[in-house]
Amino acid sequence: MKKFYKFLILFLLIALLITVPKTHAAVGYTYSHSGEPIYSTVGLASSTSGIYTIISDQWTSESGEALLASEFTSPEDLFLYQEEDNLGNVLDIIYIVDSVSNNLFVFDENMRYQYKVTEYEIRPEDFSDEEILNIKTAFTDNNKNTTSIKFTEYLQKKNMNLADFRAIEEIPYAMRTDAQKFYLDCFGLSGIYRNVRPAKNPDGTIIRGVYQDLIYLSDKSNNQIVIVDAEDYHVVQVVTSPTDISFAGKIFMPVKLVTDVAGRMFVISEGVYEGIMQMSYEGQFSSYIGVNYVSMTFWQVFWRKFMTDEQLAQTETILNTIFTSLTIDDEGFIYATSRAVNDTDDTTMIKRINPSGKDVLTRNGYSVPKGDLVYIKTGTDVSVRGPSRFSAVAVNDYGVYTLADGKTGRLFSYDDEGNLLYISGGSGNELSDLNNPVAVRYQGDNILALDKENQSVLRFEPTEIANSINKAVKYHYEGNLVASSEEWKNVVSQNPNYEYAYVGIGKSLLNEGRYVEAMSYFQTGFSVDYYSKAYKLYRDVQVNKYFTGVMSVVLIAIAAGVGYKVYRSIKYKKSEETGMGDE
Amino acid sequence: MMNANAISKTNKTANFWKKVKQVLTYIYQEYIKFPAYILIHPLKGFDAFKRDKKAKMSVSLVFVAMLIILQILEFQYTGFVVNQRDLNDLNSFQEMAYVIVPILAVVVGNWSVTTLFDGKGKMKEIFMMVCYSLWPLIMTKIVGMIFSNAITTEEAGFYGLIIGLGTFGMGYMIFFGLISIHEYGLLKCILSIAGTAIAVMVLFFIVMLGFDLFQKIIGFLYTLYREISLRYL
Repeated sequence: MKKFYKFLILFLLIALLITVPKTHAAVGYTYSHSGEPIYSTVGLASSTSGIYTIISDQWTSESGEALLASEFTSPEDLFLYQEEDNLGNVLDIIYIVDSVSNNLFVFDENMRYQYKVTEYEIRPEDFSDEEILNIKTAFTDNNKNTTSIKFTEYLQKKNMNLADFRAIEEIPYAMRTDAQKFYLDCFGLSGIYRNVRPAKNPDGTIIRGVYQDLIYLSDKSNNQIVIVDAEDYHVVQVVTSPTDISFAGKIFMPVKLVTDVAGRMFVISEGVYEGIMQMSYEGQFSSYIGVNYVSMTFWQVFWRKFMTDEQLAQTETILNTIFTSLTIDDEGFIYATSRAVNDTDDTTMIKRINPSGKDVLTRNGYSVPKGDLVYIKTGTDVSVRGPSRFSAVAVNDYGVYTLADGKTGRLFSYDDEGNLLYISGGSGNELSDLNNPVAVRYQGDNILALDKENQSVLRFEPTEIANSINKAVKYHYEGNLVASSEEWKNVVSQNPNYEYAYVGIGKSLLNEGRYVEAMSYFQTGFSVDYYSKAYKLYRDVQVNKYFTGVMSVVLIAIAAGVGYKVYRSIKYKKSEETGMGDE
Repeated sequence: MMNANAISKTNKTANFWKKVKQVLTYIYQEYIKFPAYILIHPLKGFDAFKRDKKAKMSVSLVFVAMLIILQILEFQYTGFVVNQRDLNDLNSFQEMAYVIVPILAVVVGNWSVTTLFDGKGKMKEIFMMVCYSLWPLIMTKIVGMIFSNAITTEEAGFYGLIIGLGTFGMGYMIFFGLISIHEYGLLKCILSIAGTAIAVMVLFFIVMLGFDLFQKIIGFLYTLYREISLRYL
């Protein structure tokens, strides 16, 4: 009996040993070729060492300056800039702007708090009188009410006028007292961008080899873009509301912006439905790009014909959809996201806009890049109804772009051809969940996401399979099909249901001329186009191989047939003749 | 004796080949030549169909069966370029229903309309006419299935053309079949087709209604049974 117990205990222990190491894998999902959601591993997982919230110690700077939670209530934008120091090391600087406290927070690459900038010095020598008259600043009165006022009014409150301000110009900068320095306060700070642009002479010619390192701030409620120096944060230029005739009647409320290598600005302005505003180096509005045209269905047009003016006033106004975020890649293409035109037309939510303003996004994937393919289409709950609502976009240096869906807190990554690579994130109550992403940026292969609801920054790191996928896409982008194929094989071994990987392997086989194998891979990967290409080449080979043989047999057969007929007719004639002769 | 034996043997083989030839001729006559004749000469063809009773019920049923089998085969054997359906989605009974239900609906719908508007066709004739009209579709489906394995995406239009021709041929034959069988004029035939469409819709509505009511009755009886069994049994 005792022996029996011994065996039982031993058996239980072994059973435990077998079952305990089985860990709970994170289960994500992706979409199959036919657009059905299927189980899949998550692409990016929020790293345990990368979650930072306001309660964390990490938010105290090295100098002991604490970041107050009250100043970090409404973070709007996160920007990551790679700066080279004197020794040639590349360091990441992370900027976050807050639209309520109007502060600019600066962090190092591991989100350790460095310092904050609350106001920006404005020097009289940098601006003409005309420019000064257009500049606005935030002003907090004694009742702590903040309003946007003109800079000249601000001077008046300090008992000064423009001439007095101008007079300060004469004093050398180093000699100025604190009372002689003036600052611009932002109001509703909602976007930040940092980039270099070529310096220009006063006459507008470019100085070769000299660059200005600038930070662009979208000063939404002051209706201006404040461009400050990246080193000492003094105001270099202020872009105020365009006076162009095509902008008449609209209010300039810049939210997000990017600049290109030439210093041109591409601005998303709240309430401007015409598209992204393209502005020159000097801040002159030049044109709208990437317009989201709304199209009405036949029935909408039909019923609107019969509506009275009162009825029309009651129906929803159909407007072009507004852009929500944008980013620019190394080649100067702008990736912009917008809301769906309506609940059914959701194919142009993501655009890749070329320098001449056309949408050139490649949409060669199983489905058009649009986030969730399956969503609730009816119902009154607007928060869950309708397609994904993208709030941020980031692009890395080999064409992979990641979109943040504000509705579900998910991140969708696509490659440069529009294939859905992986889906990650998701909303929830855990610290590692993403509830209202407002900005995403690539940090190497990782992604930093700013969550407005949680006031946190999450760092997402690629999982093992996503690493393989990224490498495969990178090799493919560089044209190295063989290395790419090897990585896709790794992907397949980790997840045999990852359909696009088969296409990747097939491409390499196609390149090697192994058409039949390539065809079978393309069929597994459901790529009709590539299957067709492979088949065409295969067919050409087969035709070349057998054409001479088959054709000569056919020709000989025809010749034989014709010859037989000719022979018959001759013989017939002869017999006829002989018959005649007999008679 | 030897001789007679040899003669009977040669007779036997000759008989066998004769039988084979007979069967093949029969198949050629009934399954290819006659339907093709109707397709090319629809009015004359359907005249022969109705007056001379040249149409056969067995042939009609074989056509329906062939279409069902083709529908199922298409799932797997149509080339990948024009067919990306998942084999897991194949449901043979569903495919059968997709063929049989529309045929029955059209036949019943047409019959119910044309009996009211002095059509001369019997239900059996209408059914056979519809089945014979499937012939072009069946033929093009066979050709298309083979052809689809030898095309690229640029040539996929030809596949569509082949199947389209078959569908058109089917419609063409049904149209002239209705004219001949019911001895209708052109306008009356078109009207009867419109009437058939309405009749089919009504038919489906009634079937759905009946189905729903039947389900409710079953549900009611089942709850009754549950109630009794829980209380007394």
